[in-house]
Amino acid sequence: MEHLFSNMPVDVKENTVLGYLGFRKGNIPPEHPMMEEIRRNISALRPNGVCKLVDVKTAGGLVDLSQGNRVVSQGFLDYLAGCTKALLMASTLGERVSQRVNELLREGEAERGVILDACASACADAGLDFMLKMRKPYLFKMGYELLSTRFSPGYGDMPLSFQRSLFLLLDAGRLGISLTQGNMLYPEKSVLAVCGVKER
Amino acid sequence: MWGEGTMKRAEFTKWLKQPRLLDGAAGTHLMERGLPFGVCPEAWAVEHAEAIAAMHRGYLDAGAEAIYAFTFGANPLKLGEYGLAERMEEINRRMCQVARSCARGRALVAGDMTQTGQMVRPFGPLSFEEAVEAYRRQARILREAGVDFLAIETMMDIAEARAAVIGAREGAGEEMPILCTMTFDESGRTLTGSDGRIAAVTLAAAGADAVGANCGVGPAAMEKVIVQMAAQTHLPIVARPNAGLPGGDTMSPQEYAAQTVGLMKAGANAIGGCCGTGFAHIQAMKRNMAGVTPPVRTSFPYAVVTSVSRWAQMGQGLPLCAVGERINPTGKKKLQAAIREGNLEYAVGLGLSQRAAGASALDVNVGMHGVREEEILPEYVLELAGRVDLPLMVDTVNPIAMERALRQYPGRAIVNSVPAERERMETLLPIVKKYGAMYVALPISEEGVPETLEDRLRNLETILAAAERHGLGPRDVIVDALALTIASDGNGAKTALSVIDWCQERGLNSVMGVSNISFGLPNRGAVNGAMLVAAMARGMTCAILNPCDEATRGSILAANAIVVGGDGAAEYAAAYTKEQREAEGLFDAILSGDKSAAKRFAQEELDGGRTPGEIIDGILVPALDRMGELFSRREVFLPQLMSSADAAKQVFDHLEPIILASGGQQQKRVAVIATVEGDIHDIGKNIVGLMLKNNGFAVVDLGRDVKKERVAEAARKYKADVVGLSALLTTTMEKMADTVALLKKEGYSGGIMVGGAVVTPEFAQELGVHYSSDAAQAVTLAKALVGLK
Repeated sequence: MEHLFSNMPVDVKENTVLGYLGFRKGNIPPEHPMMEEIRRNISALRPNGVCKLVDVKTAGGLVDLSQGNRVVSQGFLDYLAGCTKALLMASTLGERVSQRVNELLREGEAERGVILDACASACADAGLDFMLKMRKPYLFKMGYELLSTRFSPGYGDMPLSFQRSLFLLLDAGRLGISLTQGNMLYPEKSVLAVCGVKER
Repeated sequence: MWGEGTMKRAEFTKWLKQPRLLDGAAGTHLMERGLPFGVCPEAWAVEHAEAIAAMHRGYLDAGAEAIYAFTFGANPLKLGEYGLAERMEEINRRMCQVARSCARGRALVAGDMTQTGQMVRPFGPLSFEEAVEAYRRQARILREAGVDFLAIETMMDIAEARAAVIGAREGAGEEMPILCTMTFDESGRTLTGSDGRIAAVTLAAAGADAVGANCGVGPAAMEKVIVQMAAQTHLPIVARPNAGLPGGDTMSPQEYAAQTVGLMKAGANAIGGCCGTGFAHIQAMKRNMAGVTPPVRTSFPYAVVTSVSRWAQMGQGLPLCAVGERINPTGKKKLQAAIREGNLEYAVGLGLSQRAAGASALDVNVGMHGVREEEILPEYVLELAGRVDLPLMVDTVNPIAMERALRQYPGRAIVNSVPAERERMETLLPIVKKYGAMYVALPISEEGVPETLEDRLRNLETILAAAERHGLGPRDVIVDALALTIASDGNGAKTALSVIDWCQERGLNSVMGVSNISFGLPNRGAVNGAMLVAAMARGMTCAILNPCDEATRGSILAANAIVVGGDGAAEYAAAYTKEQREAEGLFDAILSGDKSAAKRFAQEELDGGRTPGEIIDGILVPALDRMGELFSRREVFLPQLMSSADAAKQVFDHLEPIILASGGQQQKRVAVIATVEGDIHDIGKNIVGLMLKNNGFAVVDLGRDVKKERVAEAARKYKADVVGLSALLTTTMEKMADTVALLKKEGYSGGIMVGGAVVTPEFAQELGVHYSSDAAQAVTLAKALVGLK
C-alpha cells in the first residue's frame, strides 16, 4: 500500500534549523531578523513525498524488504527487531531550492543562503515525519505501531548502496529524484528512510 | 422518531441545544472480541454482527444518546485497499441496520464516515472530485439506510474534510444533518496545520451543521481546540477525546469523565469517547454531566477568511486586511508569459513575496485574452493554496471558473466580485452561499459605474437584498468603495469615502483598490498613502494593494499606527529600526554584517585619503580574521560569518573598479576548489570559495562531481597556489584520495587542503595533505599554505 504526498505543510521547529546552523538553544533572541527569515523559509518550503508499507523478513543476518531487496546490516537488523512490516519513505524539495542557495551565495546574500540551506535540510527531513504522522493512526487502528525512530542508508553499517533498493521500491523517480552512480540522491534536499512497524 | 432517518438539520441543531452524550470507541471492544490484525474491520463486522450489536447496546445502556453505526472506514476508496469496494453498499446497509435495531428510538443513529486513506490535492494525488465522489456514494447509502445524521470524524486534513462535507451534502441531500470532527495534535493543529478556529470557520463554510474534535489527544489537550472553536462559530461543537490508545495506558473512567465533562464548560455541546474508552467511561460521563451546560456563545465581531493554516480577520478596530494584488496579469508581461506557458511557479513566487511583505490575503486573477479561465483558475487557486499559507480572494468575471475554484479551495475564500447586475447576481450569489465564501459587492450595474453617490448606494442595496434572499448576511459582504482616479474625477476620492461612511454606519466591511486613486499623477505613493489613511479613518477594513511596494508597505504600517493605534506605532518602528541599526565604523560594520554601512564607511575611508589597499589590509582583512576567530570559538555561527562575508563583498565590489582604474591590481594567490567525483554536494565548497575570495584569493571553482584529471589540469593551467577538495560521503572519500594521488604524481607542488562532513584530520594525514574543519579554518589554512601568515 503506498501513499503520495505533495506540498507537505511540514512542522519544523525554529530550534531545529538553528541546530543545523550550529547554534545552541538560547544563542539567538527570538526577535532577531534571522528568525523571521527562518520562519518565512519554513512556510515556503513544502516537500513532496511517497511512502509504502512493505513486509519485512529478517533471517540469516540479512533483512529482506520484499521483492528480494536484501541487505546485510547488523545495525538495520537490530533496528528492525520484532518488526513484521516497514514503512519506506522518500521526501524531496526538488532542485530549485539548492540552486537558490547557490545563487544567494554568489549574489552577496550568503547569510540568507546558508539559512535557506539549513531550512531546506530540516524541511526535507520533516517530510518524513509528516508521512509518519499521517500513517500512524491508521496503522494503529489496524493493530500495528511504528517505531519511534527512523533508519536511513548510511546509518551505522547499512551500505549506501541500499539507497538504490529503497529508491526502486518507492519508485522515487516519479518525485523527480534520481540516483547518481555513487548512490547519492539528487536533488540534494532529498532523503530516503525506513520506519519499522510492529504488531501491537 | 429517532433512528428513522427523518431528522432535519434544524432539529439536529435543536437537539444539540441540550448537553448530549455520544458513544465511545469501537476498536477496543472489537479487538477484545477477536478482530484480527490486518483485516478490514467493517467487513469482519458484517460476519460478527452480534459483537457490534453488543457494543452498541453497551453504550446505550451506559447512557449514550447517539450511537455511531460501524461504517467508519466503509467508503469505496478505503474498502478498495482490501479489494472490497464492491461490497460498499452491503456493508454500510448492514451496519446501519444493526445500529438502528439496537437504538430502536432510544438514541440517534449516526452514519460514521472518515478519511479515504489518500491525501487530497493540493497535498496528495487524489483529485477533489474523486474524494467528493467517494463520500457522496457512501452518504447516499447511509441516508437510504435510515441514519439520523452523518458523523464525519478523525479528519486530518481540512482539504479532505471539506470534500467529505460537500460530498456528504451532495449524496445525502440538503436536509441531512452533518457533523464533522477533526483530529488535532498536542499543539492544537491538524496534520496539515489547521487550528480549531480555522477548522470551525472552514467547515461551517462548507456546510457542516456541527463541528468538533475527536481522537489524537486526551481531554486536557483538546480543551484549547474547543475553546478556539467556541470563539469562532455558532454551530454546535462536539468533543470526543482519547482516554489513551488501545494497548497503552488508559485514563480511568472517573478521571476521563471529569476532564471530558470539563470540555462542556469550554464550549462543547456534546461529548463522547474515542480511542481507549469503553462503557464505563460513558457511564461515568453520564453521571458527571448532570447540571453542566456549555457557556452561551458571544457574538463574533469580525469576519474571517481562511487558508489551510492561517486566517485573516477584518473589522473595525483591527489592522488593515491587506490583500496583495500582484497575481493579476493586467499590464504584467512576465506573469502573462508564465500563465501562457503553464508555469505556476511564477505566481507562487509572487504570492510568497507578498506574504513576506506583510499581505494578509492574496487576490488571484489569471484572466487574459486566449486563456481558458475555467481550466486554469482552479489550478492556480489549488497550487497557491498548497504553497502559500494566506487566504485567497478569487478574482474573475467567469462564473464557471469561480465555482470550480471555490469548490476546491481548502479554506474560506473571498469572491471578487458580485456586481449589481441581475444575471450575475443570480449566478454568483448561490455559489457564494454554497461554498460559504465572503464576497465583494461591486456597486456597478448594467448601466456602468454610477456617477452619483446615491446611485452607488442604490446598487449596493440591490446586491445586499439579493444576497439576503440567498441566505447571505451582512457579515459575508465586503463593499467595494470603488476608488476612481482623482486626476480625471475631482470627487473620485470623496465619493468613495462617503461609501465607506455608509458601510461604517451599517457595520459592513469595506475595501478599495487603493492605487486606482493616483493614476496619472506624479509621486503616486504619497497620494495612495493619504487615501489609505483617510479611508481607514472613515472605517475601511480591507484594501487591495501591492504590499511589496516600499511606499505602500510604509503607508499600511503608518495607517495602522495612526488609525488603529494599539501596538501600531511599535510595529511601524520595528519595521524600520531593523534596517537602520548603525555600525560604528567599517570594522564594526563587517563584524555586524551591515552591508550598506560597510559600503558607506569604505567610501568615507577613501574620502579620508586611504587607498583601497590600506582599507583592505588595514580594516577588512583584520575584521574577517576577527570573525573567523569568533566562529572558531563558537561565539558566532555560520549565518553571522556569512553576513560578514556579504558585507565584505560589498566593500570589495565597491573598491575593485578603483583598484583596476589605478592599475594597482596586485597579483592574487590562486585557489582551485572542487567537490570530488561522485559527490554532488557543493554548498560547503561554495562557502569556502566565497570566504577565500573575500580574503584576497583568485578562486577557480570547478564545481561538483569533478574528475581528478580536471582538478590536475586546472591546478597546472591556473598555476594554483592551493587546491581545495571537498567530499561529503564516505564513498566519495576514495575519489578524494585518487585526486590527491594524481596531483602528487603530476608533481603539483602547492598546498592541498581537504574537508567535508566525513573527512577527518587522520584521513588528511594519511593522504599527506592538510585538513580544515570549516570555512573559517579553510581560509586560515589557505593563507598559511601560501605564506600569507
